[in-house]
Amino acid sequence: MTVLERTRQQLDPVGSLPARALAIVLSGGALAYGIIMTIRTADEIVSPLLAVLALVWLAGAAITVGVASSSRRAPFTMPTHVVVQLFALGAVALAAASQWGENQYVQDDFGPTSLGMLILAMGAYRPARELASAGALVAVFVGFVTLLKVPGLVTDAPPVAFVLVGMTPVLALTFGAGAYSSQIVNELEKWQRMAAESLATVSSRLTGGIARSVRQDRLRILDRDVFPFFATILSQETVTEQDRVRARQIAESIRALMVAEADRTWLEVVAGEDGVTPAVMHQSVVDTAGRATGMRPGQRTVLRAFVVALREHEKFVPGSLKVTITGVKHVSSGTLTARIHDVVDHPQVDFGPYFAVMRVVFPELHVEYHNSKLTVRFSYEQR
Amino acid sequence: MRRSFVAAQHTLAFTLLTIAFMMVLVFQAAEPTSNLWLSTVALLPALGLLLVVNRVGTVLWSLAYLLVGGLGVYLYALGMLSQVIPVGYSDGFSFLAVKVALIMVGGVVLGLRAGISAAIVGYITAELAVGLAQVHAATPLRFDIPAVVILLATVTVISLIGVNSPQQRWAYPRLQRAARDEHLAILRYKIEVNAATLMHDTVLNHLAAIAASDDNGLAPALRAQIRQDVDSLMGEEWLTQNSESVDKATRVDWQQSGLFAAIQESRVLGLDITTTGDLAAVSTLDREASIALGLAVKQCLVNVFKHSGVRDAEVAVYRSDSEVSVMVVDTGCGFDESTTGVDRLGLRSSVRKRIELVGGSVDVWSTPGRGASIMIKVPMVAGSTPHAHPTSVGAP
Repeated sequence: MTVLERTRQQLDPVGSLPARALAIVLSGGALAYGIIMTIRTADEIVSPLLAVLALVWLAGAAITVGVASSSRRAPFTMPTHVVVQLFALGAVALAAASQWGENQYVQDDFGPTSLGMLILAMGAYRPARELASAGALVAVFVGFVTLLKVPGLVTDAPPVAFVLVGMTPVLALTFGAGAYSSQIVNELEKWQRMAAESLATVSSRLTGGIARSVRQDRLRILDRDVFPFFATILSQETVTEQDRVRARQIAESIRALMVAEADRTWLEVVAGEDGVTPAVMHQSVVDTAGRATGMRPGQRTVLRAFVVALREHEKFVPGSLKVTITGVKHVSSGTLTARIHDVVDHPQVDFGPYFAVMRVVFPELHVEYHNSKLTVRFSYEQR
Repeated sequence: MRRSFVAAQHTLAFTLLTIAFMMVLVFQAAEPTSNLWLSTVALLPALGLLLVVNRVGTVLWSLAYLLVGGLGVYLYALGMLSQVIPVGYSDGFSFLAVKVALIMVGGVVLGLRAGISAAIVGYITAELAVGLAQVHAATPLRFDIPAVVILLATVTVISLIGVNSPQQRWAYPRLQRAARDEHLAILRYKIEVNAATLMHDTVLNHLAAIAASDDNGLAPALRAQIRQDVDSLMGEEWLTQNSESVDKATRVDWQQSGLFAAIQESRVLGLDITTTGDLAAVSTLDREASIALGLAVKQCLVNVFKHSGVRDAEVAVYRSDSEVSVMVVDTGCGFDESTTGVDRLGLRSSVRKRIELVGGSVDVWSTPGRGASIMIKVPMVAGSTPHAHPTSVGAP
């Protein structure tokens, strides 16, 4: 798994879900603005084909943002960002070409504003530094395109003034997007530090209690056979054949218990928390090689949360949960199936927040829901 | 969340005011005869106040920004309008940038309504300021459609911010609980491993010794050891000795190291142990790692004694920049790790898990009939277990 990028989507997958609506409104707005301004300046268009192409490219950029911002396609990657910028720059260039020589006013051109809105739409999905540097670069390009338009413009003003007017929306919205991304990432990191500190406090407070409970578990085992046996052995001078047989028997039973414990992974513990018997539990988690232990803490956390949420879901069919983990060398793949009856919405909606987090922590995730059967496939690199 | 959007608004406003300022300089340079000093200085106080508002987001400072900004915009517009500058609504020069800078006053920190109201008040202030300047300069008033569109867009975005779905509200606490459970599970796991390895090292070893004893009874030393171990197992503190309160970072010398103790104890058992390599390297380990290494090597040597069929073994210590490696080699009967059920527990529980808990690793090379080599690697800076860093999921 790669290191998380400093974006809201990756640091807070659940919290970034509503940002999708904003991304769609902004990218849709960018496209709508493009269409309106193209119609308003129709008399300046010398090549309708290029004007339409410009809108097609703008639509390409807007649709890319709309689609890639979906939590089902998370995370929004840098290559996607590059694709959006290239589409948008193509639209800026094509729009300029479509009005070549006839363009009267820079402020009527949709390019810079639409481009800026698209960058703002990516605020929750890309790191501040990347947004700001990419935005500054494209602003230079927009400034250059504006400079090429200057000879045909009707207003009498210095060329630099037009370049500034052209670059203004791009720069302002880019830096706005950068500030948003940077501020929210800082807040999230601060919050995570506080959460980690409070966890550390909780754990130091609970260590004694957990140790006592583990000790009680062990003593229960020892009290039953071992201590009485040791007491007998220590009280007598000799060791009989019967004692030796008994020693082997006790050792065998303790070993069997310890092997079972050592073989039991955290996932089996989680899956078994609803009180199912060990026999049922073994059916619900099939992980013969104990590959569940190779998951990273973040992966374990979300899978743990998802399994618990699944069991608590009112339509979940008890006993229907099954997790299978297989793998070759360092790559493991898991399949989780469960039956959920009569879900009004697709489980993607109910469990959307969990899948959003899983998409960030697992390199691959596929979710299907068919005939009341939910199937979640994921893969990860063995730690 | 809202605070982040306010930061975006302020940055946007700052960029716009800066560009408006630069624009005046451009016109002044292009038209040296014009006198634009009023417009040049008019925006500077607003720029300064914006920096303050961004740091101290109170209502008072926001109002101050609107007041000073409104006055600045008025003077700025008046300065430009009184000169021969091609001011228009569609190109060359317009007041849209400075108007938007006032719309982006922020104030959303206080909530949805405050954010929307602030944007509207900013818009009204900006339009009043520019309108007054136009009246004073006797230029025609015109309705600025782009400014209204931007106001509406801002209000829309503000309303969309911070709206959480029911699914989110359902998931957040569960994810946070899972992160906590995960943390506690790791804690419990560590303690369980300690308990299991201790039990293995004491109870199972004693049972094995009893099973292997003859009719003469147990040696006094073994009796004493059993008594001592039973007492300590029944005692209160046997699981917390290795807890967080122990100063893990304390370095230990070779003579006090766990490895030294393991070798000495195994020699007492009757093993002939040859040591090679850089023994002093173990002094670079911290206490926790040193104890784990010693107990793990002890278990390897006990396995040699019990199962290899030979009475000699070699312990070699190597050191690299980041870790200490200890190899335990014997020339005995060897084993296949996957098929030896009984040894597997000792190797797995007392060696592997113990070493993994301090961030190390264990490799076993053995073929039945050709001896065994066990390589234990321990990092010098005590690696916590790789389990020990739960990632926080969730947000404020």
